[in-house]
Amino acid sequence: MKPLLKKILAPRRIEYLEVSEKFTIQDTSDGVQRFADAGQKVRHGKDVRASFPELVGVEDILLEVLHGEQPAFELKGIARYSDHTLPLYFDLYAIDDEDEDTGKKKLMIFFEDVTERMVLEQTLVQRSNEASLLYNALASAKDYINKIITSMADALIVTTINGQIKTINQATEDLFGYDRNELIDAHISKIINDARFWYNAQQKFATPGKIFKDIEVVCLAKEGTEIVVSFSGAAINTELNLSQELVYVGRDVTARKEAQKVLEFARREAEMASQAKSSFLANMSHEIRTPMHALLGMTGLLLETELNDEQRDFVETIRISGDALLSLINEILDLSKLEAGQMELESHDFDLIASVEEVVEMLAPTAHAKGIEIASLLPPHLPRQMRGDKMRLRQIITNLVGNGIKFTDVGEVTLEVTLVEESATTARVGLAVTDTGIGMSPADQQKLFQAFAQADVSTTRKYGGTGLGLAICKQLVGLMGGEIGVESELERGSRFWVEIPFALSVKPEPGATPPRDLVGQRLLVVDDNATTRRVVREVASSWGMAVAEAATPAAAVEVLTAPGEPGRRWDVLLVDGDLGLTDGIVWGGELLLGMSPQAVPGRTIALLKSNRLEDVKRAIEAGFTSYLVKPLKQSKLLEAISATTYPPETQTNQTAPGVTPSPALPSELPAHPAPPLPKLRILLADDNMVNQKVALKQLERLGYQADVVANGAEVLQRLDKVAYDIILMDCQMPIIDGYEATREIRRRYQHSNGDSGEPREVAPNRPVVIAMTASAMKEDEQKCFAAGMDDYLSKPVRKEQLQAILTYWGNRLLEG
Amino acid sequence: MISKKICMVGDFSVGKTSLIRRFVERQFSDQYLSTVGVKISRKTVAVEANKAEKTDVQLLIWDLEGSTKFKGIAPSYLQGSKGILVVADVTRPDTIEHLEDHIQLFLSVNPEGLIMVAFNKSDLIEEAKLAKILAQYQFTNQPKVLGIYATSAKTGQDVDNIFQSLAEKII
Repeated sequence: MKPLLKKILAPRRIEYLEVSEKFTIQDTSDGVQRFADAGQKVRHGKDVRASFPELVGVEDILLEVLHGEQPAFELKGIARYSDHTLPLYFDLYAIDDEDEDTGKKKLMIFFEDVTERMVLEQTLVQRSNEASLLYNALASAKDYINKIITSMADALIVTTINGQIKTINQATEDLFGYDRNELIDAHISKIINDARFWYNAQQKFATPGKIFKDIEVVCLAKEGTEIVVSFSGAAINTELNLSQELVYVGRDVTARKEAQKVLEFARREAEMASQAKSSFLANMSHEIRTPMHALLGMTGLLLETELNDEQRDFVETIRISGDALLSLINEILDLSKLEAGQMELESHDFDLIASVEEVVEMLAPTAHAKGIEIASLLPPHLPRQMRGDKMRLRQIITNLVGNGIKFTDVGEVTLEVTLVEESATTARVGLAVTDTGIGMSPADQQKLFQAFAQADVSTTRKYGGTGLGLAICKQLVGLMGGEIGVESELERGSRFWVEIPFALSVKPEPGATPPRDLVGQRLLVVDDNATTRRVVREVASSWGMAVAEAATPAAAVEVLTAPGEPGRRWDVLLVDGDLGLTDGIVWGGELLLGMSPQAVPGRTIALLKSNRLEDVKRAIEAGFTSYLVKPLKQSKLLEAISATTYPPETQTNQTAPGVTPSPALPSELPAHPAPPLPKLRILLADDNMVNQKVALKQLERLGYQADVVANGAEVLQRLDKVAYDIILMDCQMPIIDGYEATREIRRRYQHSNGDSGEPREVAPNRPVVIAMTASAMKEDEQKCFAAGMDDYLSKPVRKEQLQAILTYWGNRLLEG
Repeated sequence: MISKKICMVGDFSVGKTSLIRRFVERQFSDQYLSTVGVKISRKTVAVEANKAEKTDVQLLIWDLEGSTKFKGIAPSYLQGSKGILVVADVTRPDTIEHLEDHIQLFLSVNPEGLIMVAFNKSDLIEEAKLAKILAQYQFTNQPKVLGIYATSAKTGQDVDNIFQSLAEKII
């Protein structure tokens, strides 16, 4: 290297190397070491590539330069550092040279320190690259948001606070039918046809952070159609210009609105239809009852007139059909109330045993007429006093027992009551009605409790009925919180069971302690019906009696003639009047005759079927001391057994309640009771001529006379002239109806006495108002009492009911 | 010992420097520091030269300044390079698009050079997306592309593999 060159290069921080053809170092400048790769000494005779790895791989090019085939080789910006905070960059430049002394070719490699420039460049590149990355990130974020906005199914609109549209998406264009350029910069009122939301910047939703949701607005599409759009939105602050923008997201709810309208319409229609059905039923009930009242009333009266046998048969048929029709109407009414969920149960104290026995007693004539036995089995220690709906319970029992009788031709129907569960306050009562009738297949049992589904159609034809009874029972039992079910076998009979929880009444149980002297007394029951024997055995045993049973006369004789028996006294002898092939009365009479006087039982009781009352006379004449009518009731059995013996010759007309130790002749049994009739002034108010006639005839038969008016106004007029004791008031009458008339009567008599607090308390002089109406729903009854009426009779009114109610109020008036 | 020059090629910020750092220093940093000019790192690897005979090769790994919109890769750096790792960032589709350009450039300088493709930052996207990318970029029209790897300098995924594999090929 020429000294001159060295002088020029040194201050420029350019170092150099002389390298031979073999890449060995031949000469170096003083400062070249600092450009060498870490830890590599730059020394004479060493391969330059060890210190400068940049030269690896480019040897061919370097040789070309050496031989003058290429002018130079250059590498710029080579970094040489391990710590980037202390960087070193250099440019490398190689040219050929010739040794002045030897003339040998050599490479001159120059190293120029460019750290300053490269550090600047690094900063620049770093900034630029970071900006690029940021830009890319922003662009892709924006792209992402745009994609979301564009592909949103809901319309998105961004406006300035003044309502100028800045941004919309595709859904907005589609929804309103405008092109993008038609909406951008337009005012939002172009599409949203509702000034409430968009014009006032002071709106609440214009406060940042507040969001409004699902506000439904009527909007205007391009072609002029109105669409209902549900908008949600919020105000957003734009940092840049410190102003606000509003973002709206809207969804077309036109179709939903339409559907809602249709639905609402349908709902209202259905409601109206349901109301119409209810009131139709109520009306029908009223309308049907009115002529039924006349029909049944007149039939009853007709039956009391002179009729020949054929006529009587016809009239009986009319009466039976009328009764059936009435119960059918009641059933349909019940069912529709149950299905409409309008049936309300009452809750009163009642006597369970009495209720059961009454139903069975009521149905006994039907059973006995068919030649079948009927009995109720009541365990001796059953709690009696319950709280619940007695009438509905009776309805259920009547239905089940009635069905049993209907479908049984031979054998018996029994009602057994059991106590399933008992707590301090409740009792779950089980009722089972067992018959020996036609039974049912399992398939028929399935549809049994559905309305209008009788076991099979031929049954309907043969046995009649609507198929509503069991459906009503099921619903009533369900309403009472109980269960109902059936077990049955074809040709063997059915067992319908019900379990109903009742509250126990707080009323004390009646002290049903039997006379102590029954304990140890001996009772023999002779009856071919096992259930009857069981009833007697269970009840009498519970009183401490020794009970023996015999199913046949032969068995009875066996009992009576057993070792030690002859001559020994039986305290009570019960003999069934109908011992199969043997006439129990005749047999019993002969048995008694054959006994030694000291062996004749103290009480000899004939058990008679309800349709064989003519046997009463025969039984007494045969030597029985008394009789009982089947089905046996506990109370009557007790009375009969514990009754003092009346020798036949000391018969009197004194009648122990329920027992008939010395009955009058059967023909006299249903004779007119002739209690002293209080003289009552009665006013009958009814706008229906036929009803007037029926009621007047019934009153006449009962020995009363009445005046008649046709509406409430006439009632009030008549009251001015005559002081009536009792007004029989129809409710629905023209001009002034029964309710209004009653209220007026109450008003008139209110001042004449002080106490108006007790509605049932009759003030002196105020006539007793008894509703007589064909409106038979429970609400109607309440309406009557609410209007101030004193009592209530629903049409069709039976003569007996009329008599009972008049006697009651007549006595009250006499006492008062 | 033989030394072989290889280059890292690709757009800026795809992770070229990070891959080298992971391979050579076994380290990783999230911080972005752009490379300017070129920086050479050395790493010796043992390769199977022929028939179960292992030899050591010193790789001279040229970390080139990444290509940007404004400044491409200086071809002079690529002279004498036996192979390259062409790198893309799987989170930036444009860097993937540019792979082809980088390959063309390299081959124009070294027609016989060998190429490995690194889809880097593969830890940042879901498997399914990655599989889709790998399926889409097979470079079947580039016979010099000898391997395609989904790498991650952050986790180390396939980093050694791709370098080792390139080293084996260039021997």
